[in-house]
Amino acid sequence: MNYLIGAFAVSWAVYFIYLIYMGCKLNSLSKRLESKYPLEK
Amino acid sequence: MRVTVLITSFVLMIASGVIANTKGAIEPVVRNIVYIHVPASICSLVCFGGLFVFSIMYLIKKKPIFDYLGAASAEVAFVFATVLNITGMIFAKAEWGLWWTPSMRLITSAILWFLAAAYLILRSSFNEQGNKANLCAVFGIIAFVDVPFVYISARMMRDIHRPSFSFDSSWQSTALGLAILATIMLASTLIWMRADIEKLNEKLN
Repeated sequence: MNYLIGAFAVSWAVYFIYLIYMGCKLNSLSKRLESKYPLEK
Repeated sequence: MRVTVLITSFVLMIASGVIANTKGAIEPVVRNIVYIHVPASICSLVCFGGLFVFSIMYLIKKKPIFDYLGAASAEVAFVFATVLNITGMIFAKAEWGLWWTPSMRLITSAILWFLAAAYLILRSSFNEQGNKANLCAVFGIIAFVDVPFVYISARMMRDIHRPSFSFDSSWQSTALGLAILATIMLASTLIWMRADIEKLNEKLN
């Protein structure tokens, strides 16, 4: 049972960490692009 | 759109987990790792397939979008190959009493992980876009050679790793089907996000 929980925990941790990393990276790049080429309102 | 696909994928994963924990439970309990291990392996092979196709497309059409998609597929393949190998090792320890053994399926899966890592290292060691894209596309095509070996290794030779998994009930195959669908949706969203990051990076440089 411990092995099963371990396998689930590791896989979900890998997926979530990667997803959060990508979200943060995408957000910071969008902000940098916006400050470099500001949209005219 | 991306958020909708992600939410749907998590809902499907939870549904698969609920079925796997109730009517679809496999005995002995450690074999339920199959619900994470198999989707991760299918996704890593599909991502390598994506890398192969996008690399060929880039070499033919020379459009940067194919290079971005190839790079994204390789990185996501690396993530899924990591999960595939870690969950495989945990299963091996629980079922066979050892973390790793030199069987053909295990060796080819480990090579898959190293090839994805090598692609990422190769990509990060270049600054000039043209050369980097060409070389990575060629490497991506060569790296795909391992994929058929992963698939046929346990089928062609006697191996400690079983070639396929047979289920006792339709609930078990439903749970696995949902898990595979959810993981493929997650992988496509991750590729989509990673390709966008490459595109934005290129705009900023």
